[in-house]
Amino acid sequence: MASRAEARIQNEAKLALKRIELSNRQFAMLLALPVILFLVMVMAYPMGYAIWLSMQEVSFFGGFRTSFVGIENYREALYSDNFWWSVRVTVQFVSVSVVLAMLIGLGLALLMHRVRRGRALLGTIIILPWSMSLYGAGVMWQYLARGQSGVASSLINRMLGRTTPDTAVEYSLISSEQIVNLLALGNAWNLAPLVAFFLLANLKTIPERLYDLARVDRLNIWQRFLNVTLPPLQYTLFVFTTITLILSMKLLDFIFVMSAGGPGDASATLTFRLFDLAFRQSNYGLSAAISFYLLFLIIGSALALFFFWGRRLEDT
Amino acid sequence: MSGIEITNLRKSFGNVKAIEEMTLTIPNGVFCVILGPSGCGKSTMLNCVAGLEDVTSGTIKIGGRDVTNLPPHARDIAMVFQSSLLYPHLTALQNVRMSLKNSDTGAVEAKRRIDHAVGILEIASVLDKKPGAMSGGQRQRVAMAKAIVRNPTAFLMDEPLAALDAALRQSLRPELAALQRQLGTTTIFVTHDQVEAMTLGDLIVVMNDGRVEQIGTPDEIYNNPATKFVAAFIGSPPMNFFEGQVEDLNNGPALRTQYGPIAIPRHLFDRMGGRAHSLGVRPQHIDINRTKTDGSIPGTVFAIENLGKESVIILHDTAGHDYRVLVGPDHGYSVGESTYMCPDLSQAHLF
Ligand SMILES: Nc1ncnc2c1ncn2[C@@H]1O[C@H](COP(=O)(O)OP(=O)(O)OP(=O)(O)O)[C@@H](O)[C@H]1O
Ligand SMILES: [Mg+2]
Repeated sequence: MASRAEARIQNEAKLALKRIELSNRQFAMLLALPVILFLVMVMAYPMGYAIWLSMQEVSFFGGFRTSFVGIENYREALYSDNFWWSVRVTVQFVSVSVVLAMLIGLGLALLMHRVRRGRALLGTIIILPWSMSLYGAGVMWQYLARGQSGVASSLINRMLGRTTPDTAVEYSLISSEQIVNLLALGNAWNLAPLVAFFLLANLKTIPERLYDLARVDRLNIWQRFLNVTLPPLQYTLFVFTTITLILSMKLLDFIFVMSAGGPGDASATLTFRLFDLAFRQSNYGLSAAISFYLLFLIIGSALALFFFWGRRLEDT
Repeated sequence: MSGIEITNLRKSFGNVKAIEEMTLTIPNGVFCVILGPSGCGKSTMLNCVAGLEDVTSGTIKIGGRDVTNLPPHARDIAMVFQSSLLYPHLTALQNVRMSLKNSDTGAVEAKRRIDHAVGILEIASVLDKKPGAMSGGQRQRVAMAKAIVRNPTAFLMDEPLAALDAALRQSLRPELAALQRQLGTTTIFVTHDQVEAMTLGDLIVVMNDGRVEQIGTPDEIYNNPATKFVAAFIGSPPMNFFEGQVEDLNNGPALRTQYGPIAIPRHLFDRMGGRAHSLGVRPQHIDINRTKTDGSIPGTVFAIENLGKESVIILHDTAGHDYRVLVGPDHGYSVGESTYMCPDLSQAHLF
């Protein structure tokens, strides 16, 4: 009798175990499922519509009409000088943005890490640019960069001692060849604070004694940076390089407000180009096609970053 | 030639006096252990010797050379930090190499020294591993190798064994002592563990609250503690103290306690006079009985710690003070029993 009851209990226990046993991966999938479903629902329609649109010729004469043109839009983009110019501008804008954002972020993090007095105030000041909307930032930078009352004009006139209206020269940063770099600087200015705070969190984990070890080993300042400060930052640097890269590639509002792709099309990034094509020139098909080239560029460069950098971090 | 000479060393952090005053001469080749409780200034003292902290006043000489104002790397020292700190992203070999990277040691000589260190510390199998992938003992060996390739005049070690488990510490202790003897390098070893101090040190410096309490060999420190602090800090289980007033009565000197007088040997009394107010007796120098005898002190068994070959009986007097008595395994006492303690006064200390 007793053994039978025992066997039943054991059996039930086994069943119960079987019922709830999920591997970690399965459990993770289960948790992520609602989000994945939601994303698919929200993304699928616009994505599908964009793919469809990129293969249509849209015309507005005599009402909205579309006709299927296959990959013609994709082909047209590749044969267009404007497209390749925009690719060039985008690559320059993104590279300079990422490098500046990381360098400024690292600099600010080191500064906050070392400063003892007024740390809270410093932190508040440093986080401010990040809390500003890109639209507002664009307006501000445009004011700073323009001729007449812009920073460059003011500084140059001050240095040359030209203080009267008839002698003053006008030097607009917006109309210079530096416009893409200037946009990148503004973008980095906005992104760097977040990078700085994450790096600061990493810096705080470095044992102070490691710096003493470096002193006993007579490491110079550069070796010390390389062997003590930098190693714990690598992962954060990689993650934020990827994040700033993607954010910069898809940036539109700041560029739209500050330079509007100009002067001419000097700062027409891919995002600005496809915005312009769609909403100003009503060339929806071509715009949609370019948007997919941009998507490939984003995915491609993120993968490349992972392949050449992120992958190597995993075993450290 | 003298190993390390520290003269009138003082160190304050703002208002905090980390080291009040310290004078210490460590002869060449001696293994000197700095022992003291947490926060007594051990690390600060070692940092001053290493040049990681500036001294407030005083001088430090290493190998006869005044190094008080020299940077760490110019002092001809090697340091092993707490938990055997290494560069986490470098392999063992790269860590060891780092010691010689910016020295004027030639490549051939560097390689010879590294091979030698790898040999005596037996770390050839972990050379490609990073600290995170090594065991505590391996890390400790690598940190030692990193120190000895510098061929320094002095080794400075700040609790290098502190993060290891008891068994590993026990096996590394004699190895460390043997290595130091083999190399003959003057060593300062900081610890708060009295067993480490007693087993490793040729010379022990007991510190408390930024001051030196006593300097001596392990024997001197154990058998002739200079202060009550040293007496209480060294020895396990710790020394017992009977409090009272020392007086020279008609029938000889005695400590007047609430349980009546305890007679004190004349030679002890002559050294301390009437200034003393506690009598220290080690746990192995107290007998306990169930019956009252002359000069015995009553105590109730509060707990019994069985250590295998012997037991520690913890007694409480009426005021609740702890006394520890070491007895054989067949003592036959049980918790709650009333007993009487008879200290062996020939082995007692007055403070
Ligand atoms: N950088 C510092 N600034 C201010 N006070 C300090 C500093 N370093 C140490 N102190 C103080 O000096 C005293 C001695 O500290 P120290 O680190 O030398 O103690 P320790 O004996 O090594 O203790 P532990 O065994 O816990 O390592 C402590 O009171 C500590 O608070
Ligand atoms: Mg310490």
